[in-house]
Amino acid sequence: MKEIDVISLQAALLHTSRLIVEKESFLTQLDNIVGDGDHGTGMRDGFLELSQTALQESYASLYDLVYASGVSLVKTMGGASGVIFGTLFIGGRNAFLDEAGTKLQSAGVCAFRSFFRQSAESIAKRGRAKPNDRTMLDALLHAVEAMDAYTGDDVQTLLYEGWQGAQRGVEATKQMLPRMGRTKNFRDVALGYPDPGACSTAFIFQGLYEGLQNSEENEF
Amino acid sequence: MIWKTEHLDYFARDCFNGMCASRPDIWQVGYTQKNAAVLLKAKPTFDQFAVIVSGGAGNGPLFPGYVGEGLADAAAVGGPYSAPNAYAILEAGRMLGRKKGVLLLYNNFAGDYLNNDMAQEMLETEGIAVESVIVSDDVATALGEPKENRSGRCGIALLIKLAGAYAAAGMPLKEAAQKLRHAATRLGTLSLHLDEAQSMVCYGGGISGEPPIRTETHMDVHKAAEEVCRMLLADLQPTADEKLFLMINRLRMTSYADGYVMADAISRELPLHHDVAEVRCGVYSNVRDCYGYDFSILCMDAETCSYMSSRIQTDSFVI
Repeated sequence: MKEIDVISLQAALLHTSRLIVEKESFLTQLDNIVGDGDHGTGMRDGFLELSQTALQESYASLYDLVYASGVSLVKTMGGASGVIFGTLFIGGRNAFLDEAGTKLQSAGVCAFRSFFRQSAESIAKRGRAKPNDRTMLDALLHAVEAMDAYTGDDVQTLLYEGWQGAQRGVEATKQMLPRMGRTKNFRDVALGYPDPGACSTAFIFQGLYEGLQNSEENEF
Repeated sequence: MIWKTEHLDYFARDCFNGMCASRPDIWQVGYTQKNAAVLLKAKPTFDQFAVIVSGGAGNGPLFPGYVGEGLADAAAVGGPYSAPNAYAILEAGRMLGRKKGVLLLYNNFAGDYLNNDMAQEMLETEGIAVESVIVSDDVATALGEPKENRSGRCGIALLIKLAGAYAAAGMPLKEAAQKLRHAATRLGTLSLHLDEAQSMVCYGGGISGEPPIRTETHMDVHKAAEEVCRMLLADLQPTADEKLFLMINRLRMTSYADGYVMADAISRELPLHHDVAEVRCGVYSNVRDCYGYDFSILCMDAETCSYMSSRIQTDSFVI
């Protein structure tokens, strides 16, 4: 798929929401070990609300769709992770504007790559986090790097590369000492386990990739 | 916050509804959702910039009790002890800030920073002018680190008053924010609590039970007042052209009379070291379940003194 339109991305986000809701107990168990145990329920609440309200509306552009999705997460998840995962959708929205500032109805590899790069920059800036701080950013930056290395023009493959990159980031967090957020109070036990936020980030890429695959199957 | 009800997710909403039922002349509810709510003045003003304060729900009067004439225009609060989400702050800004802009004033905690910062970006996207002032007045935190890494305590109460005075005087948003950021660097808060079992005075204990940075074995109010003055003035280093505003906050178990006994001791001690312009004593932030006080000092230049000299009466305290 060289161009992704609003309907396809909306379907992919719906699939992503279902995947995150499915992963709640995995995320909760993990966060019980390395954090304060609320990451799974926070993600579930946010993506359940996303699928039940924002994704039930219709949108004129990709820009409007990602903005509404981000706002929905911010509104329901609260705390620091609401802002971080909201920014994942809101922070890169300008990638879905053309040079004249018109909101795009469909977009290809370049715009999607730029979307995630800008999201990562916004999250890093707002969260004052750096690579190797053991946060979701470690998964996101690996995903961005992997997407940068992809030279083709298929958006679904781009997201697959992003997913694989994010997973490498998840693996890498197992060896990182926490420096940010409340996880830093659990330094001693965290080693050997991945960061829950990084896991969620990889699930988002997985969900988008699989969701696009589904919408492609439905089309033909 | 003590009740354990099934409606805990709506604690802020229930609290605000009660506030409005008691004092409809002061307040109205602006917005509610799960784990977040916004309280507004009964008669909002739109011809000056809006002061929006925010933080966790659970006690008081910080932050909703500071909504009122001469103080804040709105308070956005989250669930018990957690920051409001950015959307609630955004809603408050949309309601109040279209004409003269919004001042976001909050304590330096990660959740508060992230959600206010995001709300600022969203409000600016909608064409609303926003300035942020972050308060980090707790002198016992982030020792050896830059002052802006410190946590926020109840000293923000004094900056809410200053912000309200600037807004009422018609000062432009940008200028007010610059002055408030400077004032925030001239503000310090030190907590003191008593460990009765060991006859110990503890200085600098944290809101969530962080250990004190200094202890002394005595139960002498004058010695305690002397040490508080020494520690705060050593940190703030007031200059010759500054005068002090001292605010004494009674912790939860401290009686009305014990509040004023300390006010007597410290308002004798402090002028021995530096010029004192204002003293207040009351319950400004009812957060810690112990005997003791929070002491906040704001070092004020002559202009700040003129904005801070009035006494503002709210439903439960005078500042």
